[in-house]
Formats: sequence, structure tokens, C-alpha cells
Amino acid sequence: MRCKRCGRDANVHIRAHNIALCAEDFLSFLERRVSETTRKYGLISKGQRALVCVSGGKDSLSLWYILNNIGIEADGFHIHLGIGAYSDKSLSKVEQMAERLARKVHVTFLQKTLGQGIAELAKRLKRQTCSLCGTLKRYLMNRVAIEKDYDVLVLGHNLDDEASALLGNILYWRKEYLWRKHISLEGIEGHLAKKVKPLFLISEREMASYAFLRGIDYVTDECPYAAGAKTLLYKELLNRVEEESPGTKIRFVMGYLAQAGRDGEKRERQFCKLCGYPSYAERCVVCRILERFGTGRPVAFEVYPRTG
Amino acid sequence: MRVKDLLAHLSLNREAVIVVVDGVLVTEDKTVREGEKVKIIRVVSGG
Repeated sequence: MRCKRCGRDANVHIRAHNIALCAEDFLSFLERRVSETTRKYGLISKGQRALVCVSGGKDSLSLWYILNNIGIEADGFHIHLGIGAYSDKSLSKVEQMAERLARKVHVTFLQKTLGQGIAELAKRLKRQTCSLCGTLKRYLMNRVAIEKDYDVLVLGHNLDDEASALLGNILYWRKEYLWRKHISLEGIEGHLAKKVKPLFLISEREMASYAFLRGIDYVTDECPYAAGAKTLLYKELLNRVEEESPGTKIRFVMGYLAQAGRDGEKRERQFCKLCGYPSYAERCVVCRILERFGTGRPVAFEVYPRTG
Repeated sequence: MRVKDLLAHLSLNREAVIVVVDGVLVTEDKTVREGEKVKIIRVVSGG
């Protein structure tokens, strides 16, 4: 297969876009699409302070790299979940990227604030680990953005993440979640930071190709608690359809975006009386967890790399 | 053997992996020859 742009040997074939490209042309093709998405949907405006939430996986680390490469200077935010060697390895990949980009990353450690890791905490609260992890992440992301004065939180969800979540919400008709997914979620001054997803229309396979070609060193291990998660099943199902009919995933998600814009409802928001962040109850779940398990040490965001 | 056939032989979905031959990312029409080192990288993560 030849590169459609320059005629050299192609390295990546993107069937959904019916295009084959060499390494160099693929990298600029993908970066341009992220740049166009960012502009088209008004994700990050000029002069805004952006904070990328980085897990240490391929998507968030690549996104951090891309933004800085297309002229959007962004710092990172990482949560050390206290999952043994997996969390230590994740942090080391994040630090490595911070050094490569010469940007800082804010790091918070669950162990320090709550005296235990995510799995132990989930067990004691009798909650599913992934669900509790999501709750804590949303709270901490919001908190770091507000406290450290960032204008926008940038998330690395890709097309496959969005398509699989959408499929799950439709299969079970979870109407309460169905219309909440968007490429950009507006903030509320002092309560909620704006969240954006520049990789919304880029497939997982494209992101893995990008990470490989840029030599981005990421955590390849699966989170030990994600094993068997329904997400993986939905992704597999969607990929089977995609293999037979390329472009299905992007049409599915684009169709949703068009629909969500039309049918999405404005929700009444309530805020936690203690922290002021969105909550369904008077006090949010995390404030209640902090009250029960807090070590007395404040929620801290440490800046890495430590030197320089 | 072409990469495409190799993946089919291993029952791997083309959308779920990328293939590297002797350190170079390749498309599915690439023919793999004897002695070449093939690495199949899974791209799907549970998030």
C-alpha cells in the first residue's frame, strides 16, 4: 500500500477514512484532525490554561504530546490510585512525558489523603471499584482545575471509548446518562470546570499507531480492576461490526453528537454545601468519604518533575 | 504470508491491533518473510 500523500510505503491504513499514509503524513494528518476538532467545537480558546488528565496510558499521554505540538501549552494532572506496582509504573510514565514536554504535572496520592488505595476503599464502602474510581476522579479533576486556576480540563477519551459507552447506555436504556456525553461540557464558575475531549472522533487504533510512531512510552498493562469490564465486550462487538463495515463507529458517534445537540436537556444543578461541586445530595459523596476516611492531611496536588 | 492473513489465522480483529515488522509499523497487505520479527500490539483498553 502506498501513502496517498507522498507515494512512499504506507505505515497506517485507516479504513474508516479510506486512506493509507506513511508515518510522517499520518502524524500530521492526526494532529491536524485534533486541531480542527478543537477549533470546530470551541474546545480550547487561545490563551486559556489547559490541564490534561493523564493516566499513563496511550491516549492521554499522546493527547498531552499532541496539544503541546500543535501550539496549545498544557500541563498534566495525574491521580496515583494506590494500586501497587501498576500505579507506580503509571506515575513514572507520566513523569517521563512531563520531562519530555518540559511541562509540569500535578499529582495527588489517594494513599496520602485517605490512608488507602482505591480497591481497599471500595471494599470498605461496599462499592464497585470502577464506579468509585470514577466518582473520585471527577471530584479531584474538578478540584485541581478550580484550585490551580485552569480554564479547561482535557480528557483523553477516544472514539472507541465514546462508542462503547454509548452502546452500553442504549442497550440498557440508561436515559439518565444517555444525553450527558459530549465533546465539550461547559463549566459553572466556581463550581465546575469545563471539560473537553479532543480525541472524541479518533479511533483507538489510530491513537495506538500515533503513540508507537512518536515513541511514546505508555503503560500497556490493563488496570487489574478493568478485567472483564463490559467496556471491553462492547469494544469488541463494535470492532467486529467495524471490520465488516468500516466507518460504523464514527457514524454512530457523529449521529449521537448531532442528536445530543438537538435533544440534550439542560439539567438543574445542585451543589455540595461543603465543597461547592455538583452533587445530588446536600453533601457530595467525596466530602462524605473524606470525612470518614480522611487522614487529616489535606488533599494536596504535588508538582512533578521535582527538579527544575 | 500477508499480515491480513496472519491476523485472520490468529482470529484477531484488524481494528483491535497494530502490527510491527522488524520495528516498522505496517499495513495489512505487507507480506511477512521468513526471519522477520513480527510484533502484534493490542490497542484496546478497558479505560
